[in-house]
Amino acid sequence: MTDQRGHRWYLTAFGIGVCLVAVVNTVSTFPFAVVGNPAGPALNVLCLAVFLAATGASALRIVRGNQWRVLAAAWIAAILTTSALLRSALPPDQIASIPDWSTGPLGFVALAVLLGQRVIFMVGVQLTNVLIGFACLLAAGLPDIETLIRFGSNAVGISVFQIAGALFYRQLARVATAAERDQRIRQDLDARDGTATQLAADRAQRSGAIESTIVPLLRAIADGSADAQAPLVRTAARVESARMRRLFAEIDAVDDPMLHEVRASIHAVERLGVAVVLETRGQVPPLPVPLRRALLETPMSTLASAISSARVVIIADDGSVSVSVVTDGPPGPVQPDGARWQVQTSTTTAPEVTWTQSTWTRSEEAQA
Amino acid sequence: MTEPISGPTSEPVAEPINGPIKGPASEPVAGPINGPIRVAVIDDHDVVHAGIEAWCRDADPPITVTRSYTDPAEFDPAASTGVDVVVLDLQFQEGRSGLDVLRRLVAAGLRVVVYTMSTDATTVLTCLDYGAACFLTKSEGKRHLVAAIQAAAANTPYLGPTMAGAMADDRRDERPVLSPREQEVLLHWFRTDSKNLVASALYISTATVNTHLARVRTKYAAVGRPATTKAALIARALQDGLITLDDV
Repeated sequence: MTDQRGHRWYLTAFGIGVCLVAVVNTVSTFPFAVVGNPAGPALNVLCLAVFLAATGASALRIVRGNQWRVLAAAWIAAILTTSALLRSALPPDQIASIPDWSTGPLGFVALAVLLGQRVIFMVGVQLTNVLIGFACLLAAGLPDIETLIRFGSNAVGISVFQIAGALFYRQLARVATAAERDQRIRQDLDARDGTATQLAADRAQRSGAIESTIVPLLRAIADGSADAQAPLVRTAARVESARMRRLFAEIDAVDDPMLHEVRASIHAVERLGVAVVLETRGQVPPLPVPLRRALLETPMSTLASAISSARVVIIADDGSVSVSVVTDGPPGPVQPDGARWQVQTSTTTAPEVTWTQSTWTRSEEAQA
Repeated sequence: MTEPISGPTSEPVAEPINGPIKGPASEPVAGPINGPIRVAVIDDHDVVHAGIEAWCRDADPPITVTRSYTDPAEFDPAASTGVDVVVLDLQFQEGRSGLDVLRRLVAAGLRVVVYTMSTDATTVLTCLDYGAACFLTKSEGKRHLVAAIQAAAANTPYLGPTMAGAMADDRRDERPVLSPREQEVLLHWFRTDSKNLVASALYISTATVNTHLARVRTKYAAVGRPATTKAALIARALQDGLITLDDV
């Protein structure tokens, strides 16, 4: 169970506990009160049924986690009305005594119905309950002091704990909401932190991949040991520039990351006036970045060396991916790391044509 | 790339056949060609007309473009006795289906070279099944188109790289049975668009590469729905000894 579900679970457990107390309170009070009750059995049974039904409906609502307002008002009206009917049928001297059994459970049933609502509603219900009892008491004229003390004591006894329960639940709900919000913020921060760490690692790796080749070239041009106008140096610069362009395009958040990287390389040489034809057959399976790099490095270097035209063909199925580049330029340097990733690279030349092809084949163990 | 490749082979284009060839269908069979090849172009872009006309003028021997059409409805196959080959685009404005046009032209016994932007393998194979002599993408350009027109006029097979890619990736039940070597040649031809490179990589001659490609193309003509153009291609391949009756 996650922390978030845990917070809500405490609220549900508390709600079910309140419902159980309401049922036990109702049922346990009822048998003692109903025997010889001056209000008669019909009103007593009706009141009992309404209390139990309201409690059952509340329990169902709590378990489902639903919110209700109109239904809550309807159930409160129902329990207050049946209780008032029952109490009005009692002789005034029986108010706040054993036959007036409904006043006690009413508070717990109301608490079950109003869980999660504002506490003022619970106070209102209990006040109404007390006022109904007082009105019934006044029906026989002004009560004596002993009756008033008994009534007042009873009123406090049936109200304080229930209102405290409503207050406690309300605070518990606030704590749960705050805990959920804190947890979301923490998860969000963790995710951002993880992404930033991964991005930093990827950038460091790319930076290393670039620095191993491009930095020496730039340094050589800067210190004059390499002539920037020399054809070989110019070709090396084109290869490195296309390589950087491809490495910058290394993201997994696209439909086909490998095709995305190939297009980046193509774009780099097209800007230099090379006419490129790209053909693809099959769907490239998801490949990790180092494997894609091992697969693309040599063909894309050959592509970057193209003089005026190039043909790039990607053929893929579940078990293999091949990247083929034919150009009118020299071959690119061979990726030394290919064998580690089951990448085979071959270069074939004909007069004024170079064909470089790298093929990755899924290992037999992986296929099994 | 400057590698000189022309036609299905680097050798001269096959001579026109002598006499009409009867196919399995009842439509008129593409007949012999005397004199320059005459071509009609159906494409909704004027610039394509101009380009193809220029390429045909420069061809050796020159090819005559009798007329270019922007709307396929303007081309009447029944009144096309002066046309040997039709170069057809598949994509027209107003949603007209190029495949329907192809079917109509093939049914009339015309040799059709499909020349389009589409590289989709399903489209390629559908066109071949309908009886197109050849399928080329517009990126395949002058050398393939001129060679394909010449091959179509002679009823000899021509197979462009995009066609090869579609055939190599063909997973249909009705595909012809290709030998492993033919499959290998197809893939390499698709990858390189260079028969010299294919020959170097497989340690065979370019003539052998051409033979493999021609056999594959003929095998494709022997499957699927019948068409007079397919029958003419098969008949010519039998005459040239590219295939035997057992192959079809």
